[in-house]
Amino acid sequence: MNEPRDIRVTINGEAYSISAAPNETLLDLLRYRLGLVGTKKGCDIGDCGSCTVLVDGKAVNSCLVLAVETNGASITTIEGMRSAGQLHPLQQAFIDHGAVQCGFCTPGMIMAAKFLLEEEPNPTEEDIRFAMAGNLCRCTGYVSIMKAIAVAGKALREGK
Amino acid sequence: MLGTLPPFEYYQPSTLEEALVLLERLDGNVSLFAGGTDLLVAMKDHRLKPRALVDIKHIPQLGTIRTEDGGLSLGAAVTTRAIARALLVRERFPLLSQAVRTLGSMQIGNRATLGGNLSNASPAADCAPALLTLRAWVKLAGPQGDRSLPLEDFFLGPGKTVINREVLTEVHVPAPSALGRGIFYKLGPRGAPEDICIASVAVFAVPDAAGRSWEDVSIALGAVAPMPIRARNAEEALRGQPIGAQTTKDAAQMAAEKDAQPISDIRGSASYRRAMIQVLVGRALEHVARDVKKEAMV
Repeated sequence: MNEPRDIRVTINGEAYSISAAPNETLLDLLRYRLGLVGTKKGCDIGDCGSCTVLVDGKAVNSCLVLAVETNGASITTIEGMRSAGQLHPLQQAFIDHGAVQCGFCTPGMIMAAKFLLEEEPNPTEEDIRFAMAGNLCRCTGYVSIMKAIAVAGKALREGK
Repeated sequence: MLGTLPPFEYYQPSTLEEALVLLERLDGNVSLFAGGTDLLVAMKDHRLKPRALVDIKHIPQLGTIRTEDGGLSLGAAVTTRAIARALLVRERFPLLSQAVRTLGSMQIGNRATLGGNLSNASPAADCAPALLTLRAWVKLAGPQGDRSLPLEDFFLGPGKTVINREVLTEVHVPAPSALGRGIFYKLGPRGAPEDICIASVAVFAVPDAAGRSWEDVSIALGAVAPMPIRARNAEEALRGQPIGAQTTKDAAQMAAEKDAQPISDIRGSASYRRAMIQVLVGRALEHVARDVKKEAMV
């Protein structure tokens, strides 16, 4: 019952060898065992999106993924968004456009937006609204967030 | 409501046979685990405490989308987002693509599966009404072999299906009439995909060759009965009738008064649900009628 399993997982480009119990979620693994606290625990039941990470490139709520399922997977968290010392255009756009107030929803927003822009590089406002509906924010009223995503999308399309 | 998952045994079979052997061996109190977007929530809430989870995501035959006899064969473990976005589904079964897209957020859609949505058997299941109107079949694999049955016969009540130590392997959607058009409406508190619906309606209707009357109409209702249902009275009222405002109005009223059997619960009162079914069926029929008219004018 609940026997720990050895898993090998790549997180933000780094390989990890971990022993995880079946009932440990990916979210708990990231936060409590690996100290990657950028990913947040909000509702813990897949409604708020603050725990969003990319697993094999797909945005998922990590509170509803078992750690043991991620054996062999490649995971990207907010900590992995910066590269070569530079902020990702999404991170920069969120800062530039006032899309970060308390910051709690921000990592989840950015990971979800990254996925959106990869699948839909030129989204309409409607596309962004629909795609981001799984991420809740109590501070901003969403307008600045949508603007930041649109701006980042443009920057990415222009190869910035 | 927040809680850690209770402890369980975790299995990851790589074939259907292995999964079935596990189900037999574990002898009840086992949950099949696909996306987990309903299962893990219930477990965190301690509403469900299965002794074991059997992860079916690594069984190749459950993960495919393909055509079969001109119809669509959807593996039970394909994610709802993959279904909604598949070119094959968008082009040939647009009603299904549209409906499945409403199941939840992007993040949920990247995990939730069709098999899971149907097996969870919520009366409000988002995939069900569209599949009912498209006359879908489900295929189950069990220790005694495979069986197929119409989706209509699959649900027994809230949270209950005919599954008995079986694995739902596929949903098959027969090729619809080329003239048919459909739409799915879901009414929820936010008007957002994440909503669990207060009431939902799917319509798939086929006009006659002249585009003037309804040759065949399928209407399905969600969240207003112990399971997703076909609105047979409303359908009967439309079959062979002229396409128009009066027949639409009558059918919508029929669906609300004779077909819907809503209860009052945390998401809405019975009378509100009934009223909304009338509105949604009316709008859905109007939408389909407009689509039909556009086609006829081309």
